[in-house]
Amino acid sequence: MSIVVDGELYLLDCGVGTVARLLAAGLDLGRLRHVFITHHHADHNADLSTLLTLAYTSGAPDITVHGPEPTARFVTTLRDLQRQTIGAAEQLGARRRFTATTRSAEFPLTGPVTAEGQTVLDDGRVQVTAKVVDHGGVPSVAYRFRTPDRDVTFSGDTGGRTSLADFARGSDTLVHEVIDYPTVYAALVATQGGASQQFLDHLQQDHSSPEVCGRAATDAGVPTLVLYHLIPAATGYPDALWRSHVAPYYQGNVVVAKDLLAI
Amino acid sequence: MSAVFTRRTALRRAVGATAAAALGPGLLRAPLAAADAPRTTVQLLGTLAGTDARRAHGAGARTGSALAVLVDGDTLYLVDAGFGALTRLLQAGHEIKNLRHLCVTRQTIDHNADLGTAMLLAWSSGRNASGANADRRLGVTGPAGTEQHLRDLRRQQALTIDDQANALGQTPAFATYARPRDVRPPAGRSVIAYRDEVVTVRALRTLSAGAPALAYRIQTPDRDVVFTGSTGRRADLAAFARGADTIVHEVVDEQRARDAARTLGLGARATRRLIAERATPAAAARLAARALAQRLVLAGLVPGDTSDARWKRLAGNAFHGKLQVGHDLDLL
Repeated sequence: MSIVVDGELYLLDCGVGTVARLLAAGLDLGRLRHVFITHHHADHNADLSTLLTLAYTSGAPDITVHGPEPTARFVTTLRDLQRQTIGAAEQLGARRRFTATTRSAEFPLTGPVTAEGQTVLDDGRVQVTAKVVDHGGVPSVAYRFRTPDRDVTFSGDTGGRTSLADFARGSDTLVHEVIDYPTVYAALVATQGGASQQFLDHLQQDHSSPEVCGRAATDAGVPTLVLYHLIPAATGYPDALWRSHVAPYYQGNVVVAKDLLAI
Repeated sequence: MSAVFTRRTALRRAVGATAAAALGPGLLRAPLAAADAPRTTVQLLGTLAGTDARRAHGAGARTGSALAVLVDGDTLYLVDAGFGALTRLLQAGHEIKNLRHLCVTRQTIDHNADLGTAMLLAWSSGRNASGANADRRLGVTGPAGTEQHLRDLRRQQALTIDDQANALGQTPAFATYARPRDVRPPAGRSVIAYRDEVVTVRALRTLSAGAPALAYRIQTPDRDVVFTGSTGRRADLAAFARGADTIVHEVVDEQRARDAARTLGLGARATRRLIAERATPAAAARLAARALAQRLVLAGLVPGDTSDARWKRLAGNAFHGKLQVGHDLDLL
């Protein structure tokens, strides 16, 4: 997810395909200043190493990566993972070292961040707050971005046990992850005879049903709800079905996300 | 869904919504029924080398170096996995669960960016039920530094790997599943880097020193393809490539690479190295002629926005076979 404010680029999560999508969208890595990671499952960070390495070798300005544990380890290990590429750029280029231009701002999941949310960046263009969400055992947060003319809350990956309504109240848009568990379960049974109980529990407990999304949007009073991180993935699953699942719980504007969609 | 890629993989499998359903023209062909139908599909996934990704966005986008070799429709080999390779792989309708082996020419980001993700994705594409497919393995061969790269990856992605194993019961352990092997051919001699009942892959060292690189020759029952990677200027691939039907050659457009490096603010030394690590199109054409190849494909291009006509002009007249400027997703 990218947020562009006055030409500066802010990126939220960096799963597989992010770099290809950024390049296809014509977004310039040279404008990237801040990356926010909701949690360190690979479907949310897989392209982060590539993004930071290419930004460095392309002469991008300093970049800060915000996120919960293990954001700091991820960034320091990257210097080793891409030692040949980064090393050559450091050795041959005129720039400061990678570790000086590419920093992590890992924040602990204690204090205000667990309750009402905590400001993790305020650079004059955008104010970003983070709040702990419940995604199984993995440190995970939701983010809220306030720019001069937008106010958008992103759920990250979260189960239904904690509502984002309070955190999102006053936003113009709530972007919420969603799972249609009965459909997923039926498909798993049909194609591979089911799945382990751990996996099923994870699907059901660590992701959000349409009801959870709809109620959160209603309780928060947001005019627009964007469904993203769709499970099942968008291909072959009609948007109208998502809308019908949410309709009983939310009367506002519902958008079903697609890659490269501008909202 | 969490851990690793269960969201994409399990659901793609379960709902049957594979990218193959949305195949456009020119992408993966359906298996042919005829007895003499080709068994092997060779497809360029990415065609850009170097790190100047900003040159190659938009409509004619090139992603990092990558080649897919698919045998009998369900056994997939990947040579290189540069940035964007996985996106292209799925776009082309290939299935990650079919991945049998990976070969990397060089541990730089234009050749390896998606390697770790491909291995994590292939690993988590296996069934989650404990014990199922516990004997699965996925090998990756590459130059010195490949084993270290996988160690670094495991350290960097420990949270997602551990969560996939512990919370979701993924088997076998990733460290057991992922089998990296450094290949160190002696100077000027090729060695067998990988072999199974379908393919034989030979490797020849091209660059050495701090940035070792390998060229590969991939022989299947009906194809014989050389993928050069970064060759530099001194490596002699003629004997190694002789008799191959296709040579996929990384090349640099010296003049435009120099211009591109200037706009990027690269220093003189970095620019010299960028150029010296790659062959010119004319040298690639001379090699293809000496090796008696039927087809020369220029791919792994520096920079990414030189026109096809200019590449062909730079290649000159030395090679009389089919000369092709590669684009992402081209079938070869």
